[in-house]
Amino acid sequence: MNRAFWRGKNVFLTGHTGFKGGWLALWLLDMGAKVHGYALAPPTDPSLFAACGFRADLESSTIADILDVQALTNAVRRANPDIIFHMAAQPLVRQGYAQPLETFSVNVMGTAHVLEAARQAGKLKAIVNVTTDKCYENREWVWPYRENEALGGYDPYSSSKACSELVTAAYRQSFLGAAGVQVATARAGNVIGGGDWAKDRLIPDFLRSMDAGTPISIRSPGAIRPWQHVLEPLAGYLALAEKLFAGDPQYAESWNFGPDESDARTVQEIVEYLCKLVPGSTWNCNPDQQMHEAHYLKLDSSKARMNLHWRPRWNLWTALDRTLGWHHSWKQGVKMQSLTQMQIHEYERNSGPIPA
Amino acid sequence: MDADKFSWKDRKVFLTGASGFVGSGLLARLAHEGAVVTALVTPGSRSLRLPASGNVRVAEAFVEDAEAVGKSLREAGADTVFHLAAINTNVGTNVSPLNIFETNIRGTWNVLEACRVTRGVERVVLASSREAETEALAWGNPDQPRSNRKFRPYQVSKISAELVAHAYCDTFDLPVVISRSDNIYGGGDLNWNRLIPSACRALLEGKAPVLRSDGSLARDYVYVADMVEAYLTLAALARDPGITGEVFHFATGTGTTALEIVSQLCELAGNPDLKPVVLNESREERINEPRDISRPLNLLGWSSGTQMQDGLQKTFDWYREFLLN
Repeated sequence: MNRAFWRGKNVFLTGHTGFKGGWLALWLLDMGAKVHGYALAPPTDPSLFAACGFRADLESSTIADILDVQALTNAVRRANPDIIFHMAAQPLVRQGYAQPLETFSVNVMGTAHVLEAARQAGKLKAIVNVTTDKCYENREWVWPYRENEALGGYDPYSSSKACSELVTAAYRQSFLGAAGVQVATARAGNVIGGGDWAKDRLIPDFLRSMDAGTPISIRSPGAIRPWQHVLEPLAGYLALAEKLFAGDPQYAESWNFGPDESDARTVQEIVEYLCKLVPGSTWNCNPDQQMHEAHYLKLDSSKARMNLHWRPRWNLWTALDRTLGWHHSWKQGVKMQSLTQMQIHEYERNSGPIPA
Repeated sequence: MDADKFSWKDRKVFLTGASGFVGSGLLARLAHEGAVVTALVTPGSRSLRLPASGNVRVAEAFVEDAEAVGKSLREAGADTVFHLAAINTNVGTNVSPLNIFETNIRGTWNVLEACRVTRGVERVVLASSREAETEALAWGNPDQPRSNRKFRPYQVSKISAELVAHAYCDTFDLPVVISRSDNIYGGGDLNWNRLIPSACRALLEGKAPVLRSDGSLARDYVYVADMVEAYLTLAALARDPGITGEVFHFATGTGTTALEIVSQLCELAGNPDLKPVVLNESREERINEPRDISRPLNLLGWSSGTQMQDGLQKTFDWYREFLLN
């Protein structure tokens, strides 16, 4: 990404109180962008939003529902952004089983509302809608998924994100494209990093167990997941938004931002590594038969590598280390906005992982 | 399960879209079969044509309103649900697609969620569209010219509704089956933009039918009573292994051009020498290949029983009755 590009840019960001949205807000602020946030109150307590205390640095922070079209439209009109990042979502697969209606509403109609509201933003040039690697129809095969592969999704969360993709395509086709607004969707997988307190995610679960001095309970030790630091896909979203802003419709499509293949590891490998890093921590296995475990879905990120010159910079072990380090600093009472900025700067300086 | 042995007598059925063209046909048939039907209609709508006899209860709710849909379904006590309510038109490039998404996508998850949480729902039939063809799911292909990557709102809404249905079926074991169909025709279709209704009306008014296209493209037309039969069959078999969660496309396997249809209707109107006005304005955007009809035949035992000629005769008679009496 190009820091100079972002200086003074007016950015509307939904989901800024969340984990991933919070990191993006901090990065944008650090580069000198004017950031308008729109989200519900932080989904967890503690939260990255509260821990970093960046509320005062935002141009505006609207705490409202993405399903409230009027509030959203007003907020977009007031902000009159150059660029929109849509990250507000119900992000948890398990939550989708418990509350399918909410998951579908927020993830599908929420997207429609953002794109609807975008028509009110006169200067708007670019929209990045963040979906997920789970939007692909999982064929249970060994090959990585490319952007042109069929969309699908077994569970409500995955299905809702596939629908979000389609809704975006319809708006692009219907009028945003004709209005000169370039809309892209971005698909990434599991991300890790400091400041995530979500339920049912491996790293936050581990950190909670570590703090409580209890063993971490693993549901599916053999499951392979693609792991990457939250800054990796965010770097991709930023690079993508820069291209979209320049007005080239070639970029107004879908983009994968997946980790390197060597970072696709089993849950057990991750947990064992973390237990090594944190003396005294232990784990056990508590299989959950209730939930469908999707076969590992690998992203093919060739397009982002080729056309956006994006590539992963931190390998899994670095990502885990920085995540633990962030958590440790937070417990020590360090000023977390500064520490987060330092991690961002360190990431930016890194030219990429050293080939093995 | 043998679809013929499935009894509709006294069966409690919940039907959305009952005031629509195919919905009203389905409603009449269900009532005729002795089902106890709760017909969900849009509040304030007056377009519901109640069957002359039968056990039909009308419930008013917007499908976009999850709570109201849930309440209606609970009160219906139905074990069989047909979800036909949808906006079945596309919008132009300058109109917001939000309404289509609200009705067709949100409406679908509202109905399916109600089915999930309401005791006793055993089978759900979702009406989809030929526009939700699976090939359309693979998209955004950079090797394709942009013009080939069409994502019209109606199409997107139908693909999305199918995805939602699959999620409910796979995740919550809700026995949903999905129907897609080609052009459905028959008495009761009051969409005067469509070829057959408009041609019938023109002929009954003593005018020449007007074709917007050049009329040469062959399309597959399914008679409404056959489509109603398809819905009943789907519902009857919805819980069978190999049927649950599947998508079935109902077609005749034979194409008929607009020119052929109009010429047959002219004959039925007793005016065989009348020539249609061919505007040749609209470019046909659909690719119409003959459809393989073996799957619904083999798995459901369904095939289109009505010959085009008979179907057009009945249709023309219906419009004559409707427009002239």
